[in-house]
Amino acid sequence: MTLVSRMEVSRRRILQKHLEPARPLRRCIHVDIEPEINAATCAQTLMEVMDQETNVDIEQFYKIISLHKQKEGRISYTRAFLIGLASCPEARKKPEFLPEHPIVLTKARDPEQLKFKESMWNGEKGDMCWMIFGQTQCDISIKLSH
Amino acid sequence: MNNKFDALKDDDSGDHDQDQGSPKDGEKEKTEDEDKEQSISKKKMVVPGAGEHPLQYNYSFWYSRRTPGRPASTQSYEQNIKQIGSFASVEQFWRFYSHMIRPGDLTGHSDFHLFKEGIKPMWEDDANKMGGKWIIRLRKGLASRCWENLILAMLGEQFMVGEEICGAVVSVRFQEDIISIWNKTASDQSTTARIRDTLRRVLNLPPNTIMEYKTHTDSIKAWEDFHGLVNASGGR
Repeated sequence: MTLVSRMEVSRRRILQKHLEPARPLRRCIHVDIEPEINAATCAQTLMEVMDQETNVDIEQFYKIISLHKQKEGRISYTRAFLIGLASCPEARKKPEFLPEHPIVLTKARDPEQLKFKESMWNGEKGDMCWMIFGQTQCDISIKLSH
Repeated sequence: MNNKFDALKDDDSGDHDQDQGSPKDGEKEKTEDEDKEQSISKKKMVVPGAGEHPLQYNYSFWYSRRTPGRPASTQSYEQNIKQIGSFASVEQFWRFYSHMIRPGDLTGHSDFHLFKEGIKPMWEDDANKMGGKWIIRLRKGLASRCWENLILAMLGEQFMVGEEICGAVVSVRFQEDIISIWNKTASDQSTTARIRDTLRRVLNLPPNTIMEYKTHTDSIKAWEDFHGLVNASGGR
């Protein structure tokens, strides 16, 4: 409990956002890896919030923490984020070891195929829309709740 | 016989199909391949470069194609499948991906496989042998886009089924394309249901899309039955 008292108010505020009951716990992990928000700090905030506002017994408490840790350990990326990286120079280089093969190209394909509406994923809030250019039907947009 | 052959071929999304030699041949090749692979993995294990975005797992791209003109049964599946490369970060993935033909541009009877490093895209691999796959058949023209969405969801850990995912396959066939995703435990219904639901979401499948789950033991049995028929008729 001494750890909790050391916590900065600002961080607590950020973390409490993640803990609104209606939201899934996996909000704690996001596209960007946020090293300052890890399982331990989440757990500390949980501890504090639980103590103050509700009566959560110790078993429930550890259950929540272990759930957090499990999710926290996964490196996950949304489609939009992955596609965002496709056009960066590092992603366009030729792999060091690439076999000669009819399906292997000597030059990188045009990333135009992967284009998407930037406005759709700028900013982290709200639904993301998965788009691929060249297609205009709405059947190719996928809503992602995050 | 031909009809049955074709049915089997079409049914099988990116795995053995009918392209394997006798079990004996298969075993022999397996040992050789394993030796070779072990020495490769000793040499180097792919790691994310400085400043790159690491993936939860390392993956390998594979490609296979049935060589036309040769009798299918004399070829080994393992002989036909070629490892393109392994990657450990998002950037490394794009390097390979952007230097490969998209599945929609492939011709003939061919497959791309993307599996976790260390798992061969084969039913018999330890990680696969108790597993199965979800199969979605696509009309021509959709393969590239669906494959992309499928593998990005896999690499981005969107399936949320722990260690269960083994890999994904896109199979280019004559009149249709097939995508599938393989998992470790066919009997784990909550996992397979979750994979199905995630597939629907990331591929934005219409509600009436037919999705079929097939266990690898069923696939093996179908393959053996078929080859049993070949043998009985004196084919080999």
